[in-house]
Amino acid sequence: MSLNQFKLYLESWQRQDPTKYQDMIKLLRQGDPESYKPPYIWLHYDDNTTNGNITVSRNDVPSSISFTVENPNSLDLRRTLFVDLQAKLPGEREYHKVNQFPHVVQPFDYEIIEDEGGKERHFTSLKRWPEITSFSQIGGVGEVKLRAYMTDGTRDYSSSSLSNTTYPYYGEMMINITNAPPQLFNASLVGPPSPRYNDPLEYVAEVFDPDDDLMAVTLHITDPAGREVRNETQEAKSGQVSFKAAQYGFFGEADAGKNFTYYYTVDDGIDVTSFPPRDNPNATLEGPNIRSTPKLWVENLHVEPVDENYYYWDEYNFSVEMRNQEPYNIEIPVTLKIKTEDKNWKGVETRTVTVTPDSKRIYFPTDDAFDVLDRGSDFSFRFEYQEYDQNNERSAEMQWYKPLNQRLMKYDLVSIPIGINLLFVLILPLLGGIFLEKWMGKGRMG
Amino acid sequence: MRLCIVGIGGMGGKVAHEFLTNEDFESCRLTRLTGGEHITSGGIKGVWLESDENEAKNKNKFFKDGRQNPHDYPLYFIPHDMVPDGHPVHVAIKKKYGYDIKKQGYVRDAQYLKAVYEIFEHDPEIRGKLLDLRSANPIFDCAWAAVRPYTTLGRGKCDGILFIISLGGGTGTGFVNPIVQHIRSTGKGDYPVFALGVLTEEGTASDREQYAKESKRNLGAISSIYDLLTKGGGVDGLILVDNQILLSRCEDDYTLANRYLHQVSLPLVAARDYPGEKPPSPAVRAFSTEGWSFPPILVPCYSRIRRRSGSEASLVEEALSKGRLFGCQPQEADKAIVFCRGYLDSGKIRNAITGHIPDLTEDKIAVWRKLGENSHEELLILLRNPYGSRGSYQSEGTLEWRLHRVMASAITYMEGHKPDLLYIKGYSESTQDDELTVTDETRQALEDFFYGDRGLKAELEVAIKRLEEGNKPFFKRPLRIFDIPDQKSASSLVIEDDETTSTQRAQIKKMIQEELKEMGLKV
Amino acid sequence: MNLMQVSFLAIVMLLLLGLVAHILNVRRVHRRIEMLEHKAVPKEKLLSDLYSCQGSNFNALALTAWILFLTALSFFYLITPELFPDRNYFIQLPRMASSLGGLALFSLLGSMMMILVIVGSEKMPESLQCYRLAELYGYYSMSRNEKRSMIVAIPLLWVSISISTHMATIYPTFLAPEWWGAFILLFASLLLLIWPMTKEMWEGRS
Repeated sequence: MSLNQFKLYLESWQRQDPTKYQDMIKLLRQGDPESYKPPYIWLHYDDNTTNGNITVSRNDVPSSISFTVENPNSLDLRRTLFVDLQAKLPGEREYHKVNQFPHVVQPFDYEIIEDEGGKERHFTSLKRWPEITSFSQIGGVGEVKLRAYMTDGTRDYSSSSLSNTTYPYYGEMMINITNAPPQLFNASLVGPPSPRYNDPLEYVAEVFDPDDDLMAVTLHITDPAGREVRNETQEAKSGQVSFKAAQYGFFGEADAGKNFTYYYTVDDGIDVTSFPPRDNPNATLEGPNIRSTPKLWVENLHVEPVDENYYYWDEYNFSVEMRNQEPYNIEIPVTLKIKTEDKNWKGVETRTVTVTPDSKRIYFPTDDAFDVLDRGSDFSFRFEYQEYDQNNERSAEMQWYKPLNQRLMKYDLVSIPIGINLLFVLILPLLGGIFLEKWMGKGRMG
Repeated sequence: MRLCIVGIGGMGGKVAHEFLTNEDFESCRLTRLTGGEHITSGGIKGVWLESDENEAKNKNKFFKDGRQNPHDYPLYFIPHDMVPDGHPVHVAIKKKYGYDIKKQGYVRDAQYLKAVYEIFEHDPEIRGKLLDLRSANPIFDCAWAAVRPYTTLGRGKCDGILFIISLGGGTGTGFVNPIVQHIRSTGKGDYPVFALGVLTEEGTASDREQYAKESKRNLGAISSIYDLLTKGGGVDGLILVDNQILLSRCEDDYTLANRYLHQVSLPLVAARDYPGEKPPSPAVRAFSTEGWSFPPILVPCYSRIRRRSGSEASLVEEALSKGRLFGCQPQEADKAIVFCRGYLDSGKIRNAITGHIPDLTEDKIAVWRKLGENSHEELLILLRNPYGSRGSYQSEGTLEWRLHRVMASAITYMEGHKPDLLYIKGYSESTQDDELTVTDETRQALEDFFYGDRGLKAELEVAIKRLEEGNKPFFKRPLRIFDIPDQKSASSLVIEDDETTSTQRAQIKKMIQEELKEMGLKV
Repeated sequence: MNLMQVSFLAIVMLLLLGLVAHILNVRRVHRRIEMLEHKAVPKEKLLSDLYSCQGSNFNALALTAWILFLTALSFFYLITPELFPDRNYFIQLPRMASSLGGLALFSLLGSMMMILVIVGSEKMPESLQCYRLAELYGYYSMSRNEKRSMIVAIPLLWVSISISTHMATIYPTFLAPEWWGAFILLFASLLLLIWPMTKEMWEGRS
């Protein structure tokens, strides 16, 4: 049996047959008692440094931070070691554990390094903490101290007790962890150009955090004087955020006629950034300019036919009186619609009219209101507009007291159009008959 | 059977009008638009040949002038217009024969056209002057040229010709034979040609209409009949109709009589034949002429009764008893050609005919059926040669009786009107005819023709005897006015039955037997 | 049933009568011919022998009359909503109907439809050639007077159409004499058009 084979046997007994292993140790110790020596641990950081300062970002991966353990004990005396990475944040007194699970170093888990001359042999083990994937897991920003902390179950050992260390070994390691602030782009206000207070308005922006932090995005709405009148906050990760005015009830009737501005603040839990920056009071985002809401007065709907017989083909003059209750003129589109037994509020005409503070009758003459399917039918007509009237409605309608005439045809029998039509009625079949006979020749002897 | 109707002369034109009336709705404008054709019953076509320009142009509104627009339809032609006025031929004939071939209306003598035809046909001197007219016989060539396009001999569809003539009139009587001769001489010997001749009525009623007295009309009629029945290679049948009978059925109205004649002919000419019973004219011709070496006489017997079952017997009875359009004895007929319209059984028709005429066996009765009107059924029987019993000439209503009277009248006329017939100066008795002057040569020929030993008068006297004794046929020997140069009269070559001796008959029999042996036929 | 419905039924019945008469006539002729010939006669042969052309002018006018009949029928029943309230001309094609040329266009529709029927009937096989509309009258014996009488249907139909038009112009006013006038003219025209068939059917009865 060689020495290596014997060593393998020892290791396997230690794992699988402790009784046998203890017997063997006793045997080996007979005549040579030895005392347990404490192992040593260092932090190992093999990355480039600048002036001795290690500066990292929170989302950097600390792949190069590791530890080294040196155990002067022989294999039989070695104990299993449990190693943690500890950090002390700025302002903190105590170290706290960073990793979740301790890294285990087994008694046999060492390499043999011989020094120069080969006189001494060192048993070392170099390890990392694999579950630490980002410096943000350390939990803070600023200058942070790191150390390795070890225990064998009876005694604790720390790397900070070792002071003579040289690169890349550290008893304690000082690193500067920095935070990337959140960003906001493409802020806009979506809605009609001159909205009413209750028109659909939506504030839209894009936010981004390089550290992929959950951000608190706050919309601040300010009045013309710069005073904040309301704000709302949403939590969001990088992406688009929107605030619907109607959903949050940003504006009411009292806001009609006012001009507002807005800005955003974004907080990633570490830094809070304002967009646009607040250091420049003039740098605000404009909008919305809520338009003032005029109030209309609508009355006296009327329709005047050209012919008292109310034929469907006649021209009809629909009209309505309108005025603006506010002391100014406004131009609003007004739509005339017709309802009959055949049609359900069919649009006839839309015109932009000027409504003044003085009551004025507005006319809609048309000969296209009805067709033959409406003959004999009762009819109603309606004017629709975009502002509210005295009844808080945006339309006014009326059912006319007299139905349309039942008559089918516009022309009389003794009239040029009918005469020409009847001429065609005779000629067409005659041409048809002549053409057929000319083509088929059934009447010829052949 | 699709016939080409050729109306000749005044009466022929009127009857042809009835046949050729457009069945279509008449409208010139509409016709131009639809490209319509002139439609007639049975698809028949026709033309009118007339000699009188006045009759053709002014009194007629139906036929259009073929000289002005040959594409019009139907047309009339005046054949003598082919020879221009003052043409050398015109002058030569006038000089040699005394005949003015440009005379309007012609001379209303049947023999006049016969003479003109013979002159063109056989006088080399006259023929020599025809070179620029590009026609050997311009008048009759023109007449044929007017008819031909409608026949299968031209580009038409008519497979037979039916001449409609008035026997005893002027134009018609004299035109038929020359035209038929002309057709035959062009090499179309077997092309079916029939003539429907309406015999002038007795009495003076027609004198003004026909511009001639009864006896003269009878002479014209009988000489025309004579020529038709004796011409070898002539018509394939002469359908005889007695105008007397026609008028008696039509209240003496000539227009109604013409219409009636058309109605009687409908079973012959109308369309809608029974499937498989569409006789081509040659078939009718063959049946008509078979077993008879002369052109046969065909007497039409017509009946029309309301449709009922088993009407065949009634139809036949009616036709043979009351429907005869010429006096005859049906039981003497040697063949019957039957055309009928309606739902009729041909076997029953044959049986019915046989019941009346026992000698007519099934093979001697041809029946051709058409579909007619639903309300009535019609029957037309053409009895072939329904005469020939001794003594029948004495019984009124027989063919012999009628023709006997006509012949006797003609003979009487000839005896009493020699100057008229020979155009001796001062002859004219007709107020319509201008006086003709013929040359001595012509006069001599006419005298021989009428009064010679073998002239017309003599032949008529022999024919009367044959009629009295019931001999068939009664006309045998063709006559000519002018002799063919270097050829004796054909009459000398004809053997007369009643003149041959028994020895001669034996010799003739022997000759025939030898001829047949040479042809390889057993005798 | 109201008057409109009854009248429409009467027209339809008359049309059917004409059709039935024609069918019966052809069958009767065929049967009788076969009986008289004592053998079977192919129908195609019989029909082609039976057929005789009546003249292009008459044929053109007969076709005109049939086209005009359908037009008159449409004018009488399909312009005003009495018979078919939901399926008349003004309901189905309101814009076209109330346009300046509405009636002419309606007539055009009716004419085209009838022309299509006539042309379509040409596709009938030889054994059914008697049902080709363009040849209909070729199977009947018609005198010139009968043809002239039949053509009278054309002016009668035109008057009927004119009356129907007037009824439409005064609608909803209804004048019973006017209605009767239009209907009688329409009915009489149809009678004239089917006269040859019915006459033959009557006369040919055993």
